[in-house]
Amino acid sequence: MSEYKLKSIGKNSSCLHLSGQIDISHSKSIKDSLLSALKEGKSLKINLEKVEGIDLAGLQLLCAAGETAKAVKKKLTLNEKIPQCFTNALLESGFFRDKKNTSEKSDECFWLSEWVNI
Amino acid sequence: MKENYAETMKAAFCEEAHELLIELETALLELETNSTDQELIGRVFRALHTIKGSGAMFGFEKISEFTHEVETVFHQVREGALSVSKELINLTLLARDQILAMLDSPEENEETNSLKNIEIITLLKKLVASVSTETAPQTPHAAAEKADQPSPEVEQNFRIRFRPSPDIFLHGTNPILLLDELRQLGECHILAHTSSIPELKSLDPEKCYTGWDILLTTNKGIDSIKDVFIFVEDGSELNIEIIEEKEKPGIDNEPKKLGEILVERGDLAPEKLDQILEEKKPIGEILVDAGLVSTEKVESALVEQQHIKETQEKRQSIEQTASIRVASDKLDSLVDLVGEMVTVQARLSQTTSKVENAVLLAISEEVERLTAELRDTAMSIRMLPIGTTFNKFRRLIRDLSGKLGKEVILTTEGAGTELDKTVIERLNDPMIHLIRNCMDHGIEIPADRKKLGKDPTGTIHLRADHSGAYVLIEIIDDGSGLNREKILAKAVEKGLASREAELSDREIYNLLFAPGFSTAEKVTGLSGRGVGMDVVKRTIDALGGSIEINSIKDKGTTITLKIPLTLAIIEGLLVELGDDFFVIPLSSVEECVELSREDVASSHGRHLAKVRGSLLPYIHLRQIFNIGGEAPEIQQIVAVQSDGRKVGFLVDKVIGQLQTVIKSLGKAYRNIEGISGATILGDGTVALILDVLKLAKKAEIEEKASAQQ
Repeated sequence: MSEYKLKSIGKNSSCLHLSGQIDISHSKSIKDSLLSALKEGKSLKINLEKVEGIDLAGLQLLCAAGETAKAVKKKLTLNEKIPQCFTNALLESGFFRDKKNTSEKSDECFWLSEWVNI
Repeated sequence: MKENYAETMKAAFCEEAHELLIELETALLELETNSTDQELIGRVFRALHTIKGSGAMFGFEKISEFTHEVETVFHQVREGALSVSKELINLTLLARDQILAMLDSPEENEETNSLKNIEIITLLKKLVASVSTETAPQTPHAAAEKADQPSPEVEQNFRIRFRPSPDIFLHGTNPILLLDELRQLGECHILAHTSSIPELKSLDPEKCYTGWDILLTTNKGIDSIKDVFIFVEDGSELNIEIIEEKEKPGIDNEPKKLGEILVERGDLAPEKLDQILEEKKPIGEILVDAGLVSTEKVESALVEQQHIKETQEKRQSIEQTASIRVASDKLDSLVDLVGEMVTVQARLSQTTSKVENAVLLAISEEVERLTAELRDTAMSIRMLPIGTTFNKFRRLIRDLSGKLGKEVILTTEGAGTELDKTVIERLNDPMIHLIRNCMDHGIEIPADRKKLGKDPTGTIHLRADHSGAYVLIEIIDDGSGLNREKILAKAVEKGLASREAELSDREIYNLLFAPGFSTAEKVTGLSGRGVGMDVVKRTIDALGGSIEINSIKDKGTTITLKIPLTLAIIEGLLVELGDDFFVIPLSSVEECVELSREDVASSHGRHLAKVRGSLLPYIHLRQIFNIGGEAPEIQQIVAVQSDGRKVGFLVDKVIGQLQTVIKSLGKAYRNIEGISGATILGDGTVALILDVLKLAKKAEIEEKASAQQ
């Protein structure tokens, strides 16, 4: 069961809990919840702990969220607890960046892999 | 110096060519039975091609020219224009022998060589001509298709840029699965390009915005990569390029960087250099700052750089693990050195056991362990599979079958059994002789075999197997078996045995090894001159092995050779005589019994001891080696098996078993009867290794002489 809940975690910051499948079949509703989550507060944390699977469309959504956060000058981070399926998806899709090959100025979704320790 | 180099290169070529010729022969013989096997034809062709190529390179033009002609013929075979026939195999084998002859004596017989060359080539050409007129319109298609296939062996690096059509999700394709397929082709680095992903509000979540740069190292060729993308090509951007590698990659060839040179000269402190380098930005960053390339492109390039580096490192490590060629005398001297090492180590162990020092003892034990490992490794380097020798016999049997009008096939078993290189070399001649005997005397002509209800094609089976520190080699034929009566009659006629003697089968078969013995009704070019079997026996004895014959009439003969794994090490029994030490090869030792002074007195001066009710003749080693002093109260007899008989050696004391490295005695002492070598003991004393067989024979002869007197 895929669910998207937004919880406030203190002043100006909130956390979006994603669970179930982050894939193309749910992409529209995920997009909507990401958009509305980014409207609130100054920083947003995305909790992927209960995610059971993610595909390329899902990864694109997270990247797009990162872009949007940058545009509206908000801080977007991932929860420290990352499920294995998410790490695998990063590796399989080539989204994962080896830090030694990446300059810090990277304006792409570097933040996706920054939180993943592989 | 230059000439020396050329000589070394030539020697290397000769060595390689010999190996290639063996390969060529094996492939040809296999091809004879599998005449359509493309792989075998390929093997023949490659061997010829390499001989031709390297021959020309090292100045063996004649060989190269000649091989070229043969290669041309096999080129046609490979193309499918010529089929493999018995005649072709015959001629190619002849050509192979001719190459060998030219290789071994390049200058001698130059004239006869070139005459023969022309003869063989003319015959080959005739064969090609006759066949091609018959089967000219052969299917050239098959050949053409074959040639078009890309050579799959070469590894290549590919740079793949893939940007799928935005609608790819709607077609039900998951691009990640395509990436997985690429990973299966080889070493792969995948980097996603995400810069086209827009902000959320303008993002259509069902469209694909991602592209990839992929670095792939594979030996499967560009077509297999294209196959992966075959269903997504429409609307996608796909670009596959081969990355050219620099001629000689590697750190060694890279010139030193300026900073490194300055530091080496002492003109610049290393810390300063590091500091400066840290401040300096990498080229990628400079370029990005200048706005010339995007970060993404730099990242992709960096990944490519790393990918290439990794694959190169991998390849280098593979090359390093592959085999290297070493001259065999280098190996010999390595084994010699290891032998010295073992001796020194034994002395070290003995000395430390006397000194009570725990630290020293620990070190000594470590050295002992390492030396044992070193010894085993050094020995294993010298080991070769016996299969190479077996393959030589395949040719021998083929040629002999033709000459003798017999049909014989060779089957082998245990070709992977490993033996010391020297042992294998020395086994060659005796084995040839034994196989010739099987062919000549053992296997009957097809008509006779049919009469006996046997398969008209005879079989010679070669089997090698490990048995402790020995290798058993069996030569089994399904021929007529040995004729007991005939052998006995012949032996009596030659004065080798008396008519009245009741001899066991084994004793009768052993008569075959007596010098000058031959029962063949007619002397053929192959065998029957009676010079062979005794030489065979002598060679096997010299190797420290033994030979045994078993035979069943009309069923066949089995000859078993028992050969020590190595000549460099011996399992021995250390015995003491006065102040001297001797080693008796353990392989022949059967038991040790005591002999008291009373026993000696009761035998009235005859050298006989009573062991479990039967008499054991013994040899008085003290007398033979002129050892002075008084023998101890109780002496010991080491009973050994020699030529099927039991003989004892009288010694003062049996000390125990030891594994030791054999040292040859040098030229001056080479012909001393009764001693086959020497070894150095832990305390540095020399112990002589007894030649049990010779000592027993000598004693026998002396006995006979004194009996006649």
